[in-house]
Amino acid sequence: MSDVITLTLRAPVARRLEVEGIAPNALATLDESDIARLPVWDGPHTVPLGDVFQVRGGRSDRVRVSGDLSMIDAVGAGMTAGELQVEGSVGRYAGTRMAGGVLRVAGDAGYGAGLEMTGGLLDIAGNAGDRLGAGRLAAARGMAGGEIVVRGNAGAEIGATMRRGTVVVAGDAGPRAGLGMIAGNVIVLGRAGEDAGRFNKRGTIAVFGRVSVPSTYRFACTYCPPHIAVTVAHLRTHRRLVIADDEPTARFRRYSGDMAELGRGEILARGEEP
Amino acid sequence: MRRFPSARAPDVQIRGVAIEDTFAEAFGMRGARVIITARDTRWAVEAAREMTGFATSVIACKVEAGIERELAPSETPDGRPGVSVLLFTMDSESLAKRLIERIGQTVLTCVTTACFDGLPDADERMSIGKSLRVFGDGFQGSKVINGERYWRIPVMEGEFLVQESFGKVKGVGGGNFLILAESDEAALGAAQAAVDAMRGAPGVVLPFPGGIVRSGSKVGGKRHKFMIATTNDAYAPTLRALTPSLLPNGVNAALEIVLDGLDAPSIAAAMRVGIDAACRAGVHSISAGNYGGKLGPHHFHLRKIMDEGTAA
Repeated sequence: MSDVITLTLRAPVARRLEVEGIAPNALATLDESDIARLPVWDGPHTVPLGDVFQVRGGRSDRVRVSGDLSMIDAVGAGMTAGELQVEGSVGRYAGTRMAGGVLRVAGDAGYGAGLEMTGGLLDIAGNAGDRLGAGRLAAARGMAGGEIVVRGNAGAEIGATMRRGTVVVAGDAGPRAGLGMIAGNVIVLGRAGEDAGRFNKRGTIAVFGRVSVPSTYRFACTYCPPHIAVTVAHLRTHRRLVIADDEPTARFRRYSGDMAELGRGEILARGEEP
Repeated sequence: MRRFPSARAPDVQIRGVAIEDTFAEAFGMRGARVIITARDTRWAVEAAREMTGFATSVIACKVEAGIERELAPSETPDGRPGVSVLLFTMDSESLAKRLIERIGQTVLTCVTTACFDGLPDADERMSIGKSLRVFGDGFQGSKVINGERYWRIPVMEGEFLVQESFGKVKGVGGGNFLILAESDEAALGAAQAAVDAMRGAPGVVLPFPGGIVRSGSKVGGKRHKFMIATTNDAYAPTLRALTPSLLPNGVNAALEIVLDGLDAPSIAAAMRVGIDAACRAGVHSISAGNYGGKLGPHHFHLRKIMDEGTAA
């Protein structure tokens, strides 16, 4: 048993590999040699994990991965517990369907990070691609729990069809944030792209920078949303995000919508003037 | 209450004030800590005062409550100024009812406030926000933030936010000590000093007005049998000539400090601070109320408490 299992990429990866199922909770029961024999998908075939990564340690739910994993997909997918720290960027679908534990990515994350996750924390220090915390295309539900924090920018359609949970983007978000949201929270500390909140049922989209509110939303009032104050205090305290000190009393314009759907959702736009 | 001093105990004094060889007898209660925040301290305190009003004794108020302390923005869940309030009931079931009543009538109604659980580590939980949410008449909504559910209830000023789940712990009620003084002025001065010293003690509240009780009581009544509690005639100076008095010669006034706490060590620590502050000129002795150890499982021996303070 070791404190931390370390996986070090042996050589740069030229084509896409997939490591779904190689999660801290799974590695916690395996020795070093067993871990090295785990399958990594290379197209329709598998190769041993030990051929791709140098494995050190075993029987620990703390895993550290070194190297540029931007061509490796599904890092931390399905994890239910433990801590997975990636000291670089990751490919597509990082943290997909994760249900617990903490996945930290020191670099960027590709398309579909946190796709359909139900619990745990996905913390991305760099930027995230499209459909962060969303569902698979045409899936009825996206993210259903947990928390995603992106300290850089994020791509299009973040939080699309999400049902529960919170997606936080410290930078800017791309177009169609919260597309078809059922519920949950999308918090954008920077600007949000066009068409935020389309077909939103009961979700909250809070934008601290500029946001263009669709015409299917109706202005309600300007006020201090108390749940945003709690969210900001949580992000500042537990996620170490730098947010302006006046946030507990910050005013937001509340728009109810999408009236093309239930109309029980909201876009909260920081500031008293559009 | 009666006191049962042991015979021939050696004299113990603090700055010339005798500490009687007796103990305060306290009983188990169920306690909750409620955190009220507001736009500024003024409104958090206002709500807290309303919430802790008419909450001196479970005999008639159904709940005992008090302000524990004011909280800095860095200590509250929403980063605003706040106040922590402790509430206690005799039984487990009624604590949730009292919280729902009092949060609903005194915090929900108070401008700019929000209401949070102050015992996040308590294993026993009470569903509070779920009951209060219906004031929203279907327009309410909930948010889960960092694993905790909060209810958003629309009000005319914006939204009232209340946490869904509040913790409940086995607390202690009825910790007490008596200040026996040469005059009413000396008794009040000592009692005020004690309250000031105990203010902000963690996990403890003083539920009576200003933290001081002048109407110490005994169980039942001699003449009015229907009464649950009547005046503690043994400590009433005007009855010295009419009743078996426990007031020493030279004592003309007695005041009681009653403490409720989330646990016994918190009460003992507060009593130590309060008794020490009460030992001043004009005070004859410090005593405590008990029932001979037959009613309450928690016994706070005055001399032991003060000795531990000295040792510390």
